[in-house]
Amino acid sequence: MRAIWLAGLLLLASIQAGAAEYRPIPGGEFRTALPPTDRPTVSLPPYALRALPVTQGEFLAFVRQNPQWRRDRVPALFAARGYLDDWAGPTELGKIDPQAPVTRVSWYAARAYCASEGATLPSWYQWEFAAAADASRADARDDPAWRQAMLDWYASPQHGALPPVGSDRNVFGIYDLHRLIYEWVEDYNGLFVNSDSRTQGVVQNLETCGAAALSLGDRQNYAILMRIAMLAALDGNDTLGLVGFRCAKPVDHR
Amino acid sequence: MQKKSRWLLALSGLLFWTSLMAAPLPGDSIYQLDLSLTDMAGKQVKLADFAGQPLTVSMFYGNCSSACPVLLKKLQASAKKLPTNAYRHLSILLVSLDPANDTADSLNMLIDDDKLDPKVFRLAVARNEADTRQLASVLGIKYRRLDNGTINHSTRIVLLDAQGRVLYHDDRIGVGADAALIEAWHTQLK
Repeated sequence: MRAIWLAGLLLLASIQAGAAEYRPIPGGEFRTALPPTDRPTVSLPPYALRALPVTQGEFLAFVRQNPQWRRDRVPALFAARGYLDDWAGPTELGKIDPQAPVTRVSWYAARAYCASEGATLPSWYQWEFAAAADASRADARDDPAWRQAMLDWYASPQHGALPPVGSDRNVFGIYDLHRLIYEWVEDYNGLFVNSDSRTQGVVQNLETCGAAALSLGDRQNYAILMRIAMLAALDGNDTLGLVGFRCAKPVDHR
Repeated sequence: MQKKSRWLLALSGLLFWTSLMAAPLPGDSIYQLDLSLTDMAGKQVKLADFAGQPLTVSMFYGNCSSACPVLLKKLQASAKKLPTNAYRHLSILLVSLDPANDTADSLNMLIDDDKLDPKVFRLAVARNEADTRQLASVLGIKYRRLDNGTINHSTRIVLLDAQGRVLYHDDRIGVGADAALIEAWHTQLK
């Protein structure tokens, strides 16, 4: 009898361990690099964000359960060549650390993974809000030291295997938003900026179908602008070695 | 005897047709996307239902006052330049970027207001924002919603072959007939 109880508890514990952790993020009025109006801020409702980027091991489990996302079966429309091609086989990691963040995944594959957790990719604003924090402040972006630390990552070329997730925790309990990988967002194809933001008048209005022209705010925040430029240059089926993802959910109203 | 051969002909025709239907789509076909749309008549269609003949696709939204009318004018003016036999085969699908506000009724009004030929133009809207974003992604169309209700978007026109592979696309703005688009239609509808 006691053995059955123990087995049940162990099962419960393993289910708990398998579920990804999502942390509540308060949202609010927020200064953004991509303002949706003439004002420099956006009003962001509360949401929940995955504490950790999705790992190689987690993505492997997903591919095993959803064979249409195997690299030898996925249509080219949804994943270009290069998709998971650092794995030893279609369902084998080989030497890759299962705790490292998964990369070489397309936007479509990332979305499908998030759907399997009952989640979606975060919007750009949801990612940007959480990524403004450091270990002790909700918005550390005006601190020159913080900005420099972010920039240093972009300046140093990444060599070799990516380290495991879970090393850089911010005040919301979200890890690795900087200095590990780039991350897909749901509206990656909404992050366009005019190739020349000095473009004025009729041409600009016509190109963007709207009186409000899009321009970059927060021009000093180069680290964030690098992210935007990177994501804006991608196609949905691109699979890059430094692009991974995490997921987001609506907040629990319990 | 004659009756029997006619039967055989019909049967082989049917077999040929079913073999076409059963042929797997190319990996880069846009019809790989499982997408449900509601058209201006309120009819439910799947994107893949358009497979089997050439299709021209773009995205727009009903409450759009600058780029969308220009896009429609460019399509209309260019289509008018086609010879009758090519025009007859022309099929243009326009999908809304604004699933929260566009409905069969609003799409129908656009057909009337802009005097779009309903034999050529099919206006449709996806079920939600996520499906709309996914279609925009496969077409290479960029868009984002602003606070004042307008939607910034690129004005891409995409020409597909019968299997849903991209033959041609352009993002040019202009209200007149577009020589490159007409040329591409000639090739597509040959």
